[in-house]
Amino acid sequence: MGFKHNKKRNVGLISEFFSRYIAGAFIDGRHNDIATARKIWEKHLHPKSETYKEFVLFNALYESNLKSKEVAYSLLNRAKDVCKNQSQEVLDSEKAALINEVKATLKDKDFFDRPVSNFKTFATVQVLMNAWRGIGFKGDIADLATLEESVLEHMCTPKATNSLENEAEKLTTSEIDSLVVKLMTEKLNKRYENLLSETQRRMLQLYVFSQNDTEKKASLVSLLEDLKTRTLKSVKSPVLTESLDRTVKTKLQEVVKLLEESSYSNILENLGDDLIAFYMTIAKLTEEVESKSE
Amino acid sequence: MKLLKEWKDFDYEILKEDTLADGRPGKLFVKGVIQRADTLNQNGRIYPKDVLLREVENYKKVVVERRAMGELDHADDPVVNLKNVSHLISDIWVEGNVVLGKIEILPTPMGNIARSLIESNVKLGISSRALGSVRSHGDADVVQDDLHLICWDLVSEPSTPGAFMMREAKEVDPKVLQKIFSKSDRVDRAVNEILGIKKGQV
Repeated sequence: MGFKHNKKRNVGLISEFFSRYIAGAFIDGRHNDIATARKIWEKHLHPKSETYKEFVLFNALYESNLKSKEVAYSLLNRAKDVCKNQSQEVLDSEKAALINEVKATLKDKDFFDRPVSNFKTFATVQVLMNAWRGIGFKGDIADLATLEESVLEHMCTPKATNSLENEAEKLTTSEIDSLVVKLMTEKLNKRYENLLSETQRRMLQLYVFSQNDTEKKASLVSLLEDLKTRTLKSVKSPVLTESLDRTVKTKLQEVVKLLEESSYSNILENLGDDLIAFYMTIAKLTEEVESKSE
Repeated sequence: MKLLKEWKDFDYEILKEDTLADGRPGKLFVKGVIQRADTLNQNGRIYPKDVLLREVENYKKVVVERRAMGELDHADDPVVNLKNVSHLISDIWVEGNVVLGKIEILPTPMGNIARSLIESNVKLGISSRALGSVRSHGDADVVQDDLHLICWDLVSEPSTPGAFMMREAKEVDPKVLQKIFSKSDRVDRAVNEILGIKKGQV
């Protein structure tokens, strides 16, 4: 049995490529790319387009979860009738425009190379639809019947629902961790972008990863040690103390005492949430003290 | 960051000093609740207690330095305009969820108007001015941790009592904080936060 299959023109696969592209953009926080991809999809697969009609037929065949082979056969025949009436010329031209816009706008050379599980079934469904319209299929009527039988089998095969729970179970712990960290980092940066200084952000970043990464832990300790030394030097500077009133000076002395206390000065031994919270505020103080703005 | 203004009715107690030897009137003070924490206010906002208490603590420095001035009537700017100053907060403290203040009415043009109104038993309102952001939580807007209290103004009663009259807030560039708060204020604020952590208040 001979047939030609082009993954870039497989409407089911195109939908999968878009889904994967958008999911990747979401994790990376590329919101503009998400909007652009959605725009392209909506432009080329609007309900009046031939490609959209083909997509509906594709889904009817691919997503069906039927118990009765008779019902599946009836559905297959109806799909065949609709499919035969589709204009191959219009489909080709619409898909060419879609592929060109994806390439020109999204500029992602891997867009059509994303791995898709069940690729073979996706290909079979599209090849069958093409064959009904008389293109890309070089087999005889028996081969076509075999192809139809294969899709029929798929339509009657019980399918696992792709719930979020099922998908999540497939992920490994490290994949989940990495996803959670990415999402949390993005949320944190967005919410606190105007509130946290560069030092504070760096401190948090190192602290989050310091548990399992000795290098990051060492960097964090070094950052905090430097901050402590810098703060002690700044708050004791005569230029600063001249510009502050007595109440603030007295309070600063209390801060110096705290910095010299073992619970805050022995950084490595006391590394934890409380110590980080303390040094986050110390970072803020140091920035104010060193600020040139009066 | 937004300019958050809150209207609140002001039930005050009048404290009057004796007339001076040269015949000039003695100082006039009013005392009462100027803000409430953890309560949905008339503008649809809630000030969490820890955030409001922290701001009162920071504001005490301004009070001690006799800089805690406020204007007569609503102002639309984060900076206190000296021409419109009518009073000075001379003491501020917290009891439970309420912030109380002792307010000295100043002998300025606006202060004299305020004094006349108070002496004529006119019902006044008090309005806090602050910079910060809010997050919606159900029907309420909860004031966030970035709050910076600026002052309290004496204002007239709203025309529509009970309505959320000041929910819309003007957007303000956070850089304006450098203009409003001196370096000493900013250092004091940072130090208060550190000492607050030590005392377990933050």
